[in-house]
Amino acid sequence: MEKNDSGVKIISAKPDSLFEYCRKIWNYRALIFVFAKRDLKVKYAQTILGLGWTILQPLTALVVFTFFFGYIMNSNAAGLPFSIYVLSGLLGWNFFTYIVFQGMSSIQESGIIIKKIYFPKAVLPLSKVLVACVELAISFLLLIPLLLWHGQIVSWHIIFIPMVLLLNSMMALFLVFITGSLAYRIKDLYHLVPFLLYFGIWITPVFFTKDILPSEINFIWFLNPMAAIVEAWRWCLFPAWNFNPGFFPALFIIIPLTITVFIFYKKSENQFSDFA
Amino acid sequence: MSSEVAIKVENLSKKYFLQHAVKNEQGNETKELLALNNISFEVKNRESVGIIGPNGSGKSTLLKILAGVTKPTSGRVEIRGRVASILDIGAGFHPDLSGRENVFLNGQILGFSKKEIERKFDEIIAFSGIEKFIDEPVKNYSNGMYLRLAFSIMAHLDFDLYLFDEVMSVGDAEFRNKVNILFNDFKWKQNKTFLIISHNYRDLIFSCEKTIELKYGNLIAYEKTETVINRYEELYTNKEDNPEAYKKLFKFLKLTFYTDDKETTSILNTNKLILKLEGEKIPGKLCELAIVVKDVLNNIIFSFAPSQSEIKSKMLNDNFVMVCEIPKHLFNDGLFLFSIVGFDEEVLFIYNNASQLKVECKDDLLVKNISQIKGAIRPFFKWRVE
Repeated sequence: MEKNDSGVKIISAKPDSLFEYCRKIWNYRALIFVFAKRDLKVKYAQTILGLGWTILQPLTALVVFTFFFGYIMNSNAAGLPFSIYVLSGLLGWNFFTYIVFQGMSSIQESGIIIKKIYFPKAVLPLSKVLVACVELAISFLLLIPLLLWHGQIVSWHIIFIPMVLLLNSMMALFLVFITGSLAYRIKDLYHLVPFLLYFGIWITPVFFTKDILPSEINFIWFLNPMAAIVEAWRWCLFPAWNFNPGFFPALFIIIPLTITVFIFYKKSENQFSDFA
Repeated sequence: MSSEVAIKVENLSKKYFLQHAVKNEQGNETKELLALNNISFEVKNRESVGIIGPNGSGKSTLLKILAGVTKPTSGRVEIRGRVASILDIGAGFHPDLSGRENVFLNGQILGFSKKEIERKFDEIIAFSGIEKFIDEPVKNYSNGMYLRLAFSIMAHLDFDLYLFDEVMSVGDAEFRNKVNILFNDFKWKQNKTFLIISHNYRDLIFSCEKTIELKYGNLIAYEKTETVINRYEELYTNKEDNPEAYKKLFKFLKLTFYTDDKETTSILNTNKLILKLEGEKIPGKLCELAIVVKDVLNNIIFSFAPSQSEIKSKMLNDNFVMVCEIPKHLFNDGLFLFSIVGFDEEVLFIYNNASQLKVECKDDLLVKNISQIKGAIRPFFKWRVE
């Protein structure tokens, strides 16, 4: 519980200031790890394969992609073997959708706790970011043998991954916060957002390359920040990949937007327990 | 705010917005529900305060606000110390995780570090009494086991202030007894403060010095527990037992009290009391008669009946008036309900709540805090110094 210096906690109708709220999240930071750990534990509790499932799922996807695109269609994409192209694209995209789906439903699935115990609700989606990082690391483990197999060298740009990861999380949290602060009342969003995401993968260069669009309307990629992020992942990994300048506009739009919706979320989270 | 005060509530209100309009007391359509209406009170350190009120009176809303789970619409609260809100036991449990994992999960959700929990872990498990099953997922637990574990966590982590929402009355007798012992220890040795919602008034009388009564979100009373409960139950009893209907049914019987030759319904415990039972010629053949005295919680305190040498049963078959002298210093503070039990050779009849007597105690006991004298009767025994 938050306390001031004299150990007295004040409860009033006034919502927390941004600073206070961030301090609360900081005080409850252990809970982010606790929830993430709980999710991972629960996911594999009472399964025989346990963590093996996390590897098995992308592995199957990988085999399908490689076989289908690489072998049957025998295609190369932007100078990369197709399987590598797809898997590197999925890194960012899966990370993004995982946080959005899980973060969105985290408020609903924790309804009982929210109604009985206080904690800053932003802790819930933030814990999902951690879980997504674990899943991401496992996907990476799959990419490595594939890179070795194809003799692909990894670029020194890999040191920029934290930057890309941050923007990728922010992009996801932007959606989580905006839906989170509305969806507790407008439940349609729980249906609308997955719909948008399924559509979204086709306007993001995950499976196909950017040049499938005629150059006159190529700018469309710039309108989708996820396109810039997915490209940035590839830039981090592959030396031959050209930097997509769309990354910077994405950066400067997403960060202030995410902060804005975060404030909005902070305001509306007081209502969660009354509506959950 | 002085360090004596654990909770200070000032002008607290909470409004809920409904999905469908309802009619308020003035008959206007409204979508607002005032769950708490401008409530103020203070709870001192180491005080135990009960909260009573009919369903929907705002009791749980009040605790939710104090627990920080929901925000008030206006007003403010100051709380000193670490709050354990036991609004629902085991709310932070995950069914797929083991008991052991859930102790840590729940403890950390409640704001304790892993180290703090580790230190108390053995105590928690021992108290819960489910060591054998601690590595089993809690979804396989019985309700009782679930509750024991959850309760042990709350009880062993170091809180200053406990908020309970009707959770005391769960568990089996053995566990409840354990809990009671623990709470007494909390209360008298460890300076803990309690706020308890309960419908078990007897528990409240034993565990809380003061009680808040809420009704439609308003604070009706904040006084000594016995006083609040007696008045609350008086209302409730009257409504439920419908004495008017009874009076019609048993119009042939009448029970009245006199003190100093005046009819009365309330006495001091130092008054001598005369009980008068009048009967008309009764349909059927009444042959046995007794009077049962209950407290407001509907517990039978004692019964009494005339002896055969005093009253011959055939007398009861005509109009009769019986008088009985009740000694002073018998009843404790509170309201007492007198019922008449009769037997007419074939059927037993009970005239519930035939009459009520309110007793107020004024005496010179050594105990200054009168609420220390618990129980329904308050006999006056002779003491001397040796």
